Parts: sequence; C-alpha cells; structure tokens
Amino acid sequence: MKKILLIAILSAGLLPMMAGEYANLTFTNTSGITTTLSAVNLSATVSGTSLVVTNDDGTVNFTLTELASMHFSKIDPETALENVLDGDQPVTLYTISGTEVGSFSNLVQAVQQVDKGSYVIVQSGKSQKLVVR
Amino acid sequence: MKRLAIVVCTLYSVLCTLSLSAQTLNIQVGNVTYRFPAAQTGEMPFEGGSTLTVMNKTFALSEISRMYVDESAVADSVVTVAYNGNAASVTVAGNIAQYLTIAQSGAHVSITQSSNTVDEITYILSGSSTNGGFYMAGSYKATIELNGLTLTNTSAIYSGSAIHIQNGKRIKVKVATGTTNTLVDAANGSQKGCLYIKGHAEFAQKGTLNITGRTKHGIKIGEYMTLKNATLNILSAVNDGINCSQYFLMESGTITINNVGDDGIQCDIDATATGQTTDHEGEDSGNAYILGGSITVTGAKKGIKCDGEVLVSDEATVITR
Repeated sequence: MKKILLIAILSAGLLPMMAGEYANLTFTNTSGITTTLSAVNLSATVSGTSLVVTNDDGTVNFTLTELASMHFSKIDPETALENVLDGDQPVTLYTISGTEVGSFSNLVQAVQQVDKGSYVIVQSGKSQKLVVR
Repeated sequence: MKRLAIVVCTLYSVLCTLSLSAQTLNIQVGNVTYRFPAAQTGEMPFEGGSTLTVMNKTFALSEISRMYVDESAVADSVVTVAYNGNAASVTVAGNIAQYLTIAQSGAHVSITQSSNTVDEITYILSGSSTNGGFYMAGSYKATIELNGLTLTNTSAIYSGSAIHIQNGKRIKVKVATGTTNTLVDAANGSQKGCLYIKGHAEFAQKGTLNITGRTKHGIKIGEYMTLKNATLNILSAVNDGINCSQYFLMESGTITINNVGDDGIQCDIDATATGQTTDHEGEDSGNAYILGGSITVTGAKKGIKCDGEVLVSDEATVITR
C-alpha cells in the first residue's frame, strides 16, 4: 500500500511538467525572423493584408505576404532568451503592436531601462517575446 | 492509509485525464471548424500571403473566419455534424482534413472523401433541423453514428434523402445506444430512400431510428444489410419499408413497419445469383436471414419479399398482419 501511495504521489508531481506542452506559437517571416507568442487564449483573424494575432499579452499584426510559416513550440517565451539570444550583444525592443521602443547595448541594459510589460526583442535577425516584471 | 491512497489515486486519475487535453489549433471556415492537435501540426507554411497549409490541408486565408488555440482534445478521424434549425456546425479532426471537401447550404451538408482517403472516418450526426440533409460521397469504408438526430429534408439541395451515402463500401450505421433518431425525406423527389446507402450497411447499437419515406422506400441499401440490436421503426413509406439487395441478415433488434405502399422488407438479387455462401462472403442470394429479434409488419402487400429464401430461426419472431 505504501508503495502504491508513493508511486501515485510521485506521478502526480510529474503532471505539471506535462501540461501546456506546446504552449507557444512561433511565426517565421520570409527573412527568417521569428516571433514567439504564448498560445494561451490566442486567436487570429485576417484583416485586409494583415494577420491580426491576439492573446493575453496583447495584439500583434503580421503582414500576410511577409509570413513564411508558423509552428507550435515548447519554448517558454520568458526563459527562451537565455537559449536563443546572446546577453552581451545589442538588442532592439519593440512593443507587442510593433512600435520600436529603442536599441540597447545589451539585454540587461534593455530590461533596466524599459517599463514593466511585454515586448518583442530582436537581435541578429531573431526575435523573442520579453516580459519585464 | 487506505482512504488516503484512494483519495490520492482518484486525484491522480482526474489530473491524468486533464493532462490529456493539449493545445489544439482550430481553423474556422464558415460553419466548419478544422481541429488540429498542436503535437501533429509541425511546420505550417504560408504561401504568397494567400494560403496556409496545415497537415496537408490548404486553406485560402480569405476564407478563414478565425483561428484560435484552445486546450480541448481532438479525436482522430472523427467528423461531427450538429444540426440546429436552419444551420449545421461541422467539426473535422485534423488528421483527415486533407481528405475532405465540405459544402454547406443552410442545414444541408455535403462531404466528399477524396479517393486517397486511408483512414476510416466516423461521422457523428446530432441535433435537429426541419430543413436539412446529410450527403456523403466516397470510396473508403465509413461509420455513420446517429446520436440524437432529428432531420427532415424538405428541399433537395444535395439529395432529397435525409441521409444519402454515395459510397459503395461497408457503411456501419451506429444508432447510438439510448438515443432516438428520426429521419424524414423530401416528398416527390428522385431519391431512392429516406436513408440511402449505396454500399452494404451494418446497423448496430441499441438506439432507435424512426423513418418516414415520402418519395420511395424508407431505407434503401444498394447491397446487403445486417442488423444487430437497434430498433428500426418505419413509420410510413411510399414503396417498401426496407429495400436491399444481395441479402438481409438480422441477428437481433426490433423492426416495426407500418403504412407502406408496397412490401415491408424486400431483398433482391443484385447482379448474379450466388446462392448462400460461407459466412455470406460475396453472397448475392436475395435471401433474408432472420436469426433473432422481432419483425412486425402491418398493412404491407407482403411482409417480407425476397428473390431468394426467407429463413427464420426459432429465436426470431416475425409477425405480418
């Protein structure tokens, strides 16, 4: 009985790791630049020449002719920066709606100088979402 | 300790069930929602700003009403059609989306399976419409599940039948247990039956199916027909209550036939008579095998009329009056 109880408790502990396996949707444009958005409550509609994507973090407009593909990803936008971007290299920040916030000498400086909120951070042709808390 | 273990195990089971749900990409095109499990989608290419392809299904971006992600589960190889008045909502599992062409006019739904379909598709029909129909064409075996469907066809958009299956393969008709389903076809049409199946039909499960045939037969099956468990009520038909070819085989269930213009059940030889064959394989005997269940036919010219023989076992009941 103790064994069964132990197995059940250990197994239950693993469940949160399984949930939300494909939690993000990553868009790639024709230049190879990627934008990863949380897939939670994500919806998208075509409006004129744009794909308007909305989730809990805000709205992003993609020009349809510049979209190459999209795919679900397991990357967590809040931790992906460590894996994808170089913390010592210059970065440019944009608001979720695409307005440039500014260019910074590195990631740490960017985080220190912007207000709390969600941003798209671009470095060497790659982009990721950044949440400053 | 035992109680604690039970509580933990129950909680674990619930959590396991919840964890089975995963991200699903839903693509709405009119009243049709294509549902793609995130784990199956892979790379989804856009082309020239005009199309999006997901799991080999290409969508014109201009026809997409909306895309959204939720955490509902998707059953592979399932199409659902839910009728509601003058409309019908259709969902399509992502793994079979590439094989299907869907057309709709109000609550009239037409689905065509491509010739390269490699999965058996289950169509689950439910809801109610007083002006609708279901038409499916294909060349791969399929399952039609009637899950509380009330459907009257008053205008022959794709067919005058309430359900028309233009597919010569094996069609399993599941009359879902515990449900009552009612079909009425269009009057003065050209259809052969209120429920028409071109191929061979296997009726199963313990639900009830009520049929009214306002043009010709109540049920018309192009090849053989088998019945197990289900209750079939032919409320009225212009010609036969049930008309099939090759052979008719009833293992169990109940058939009640009233108000028909010709015979209760008619079974013809389809092409070349074979006589009875082992396990009925390739059989074209025109025989009716009543192995179990009960048949009651009232007011028909002939209760059961066959090109072959009518064979009734001791376990079966056949009443003709």
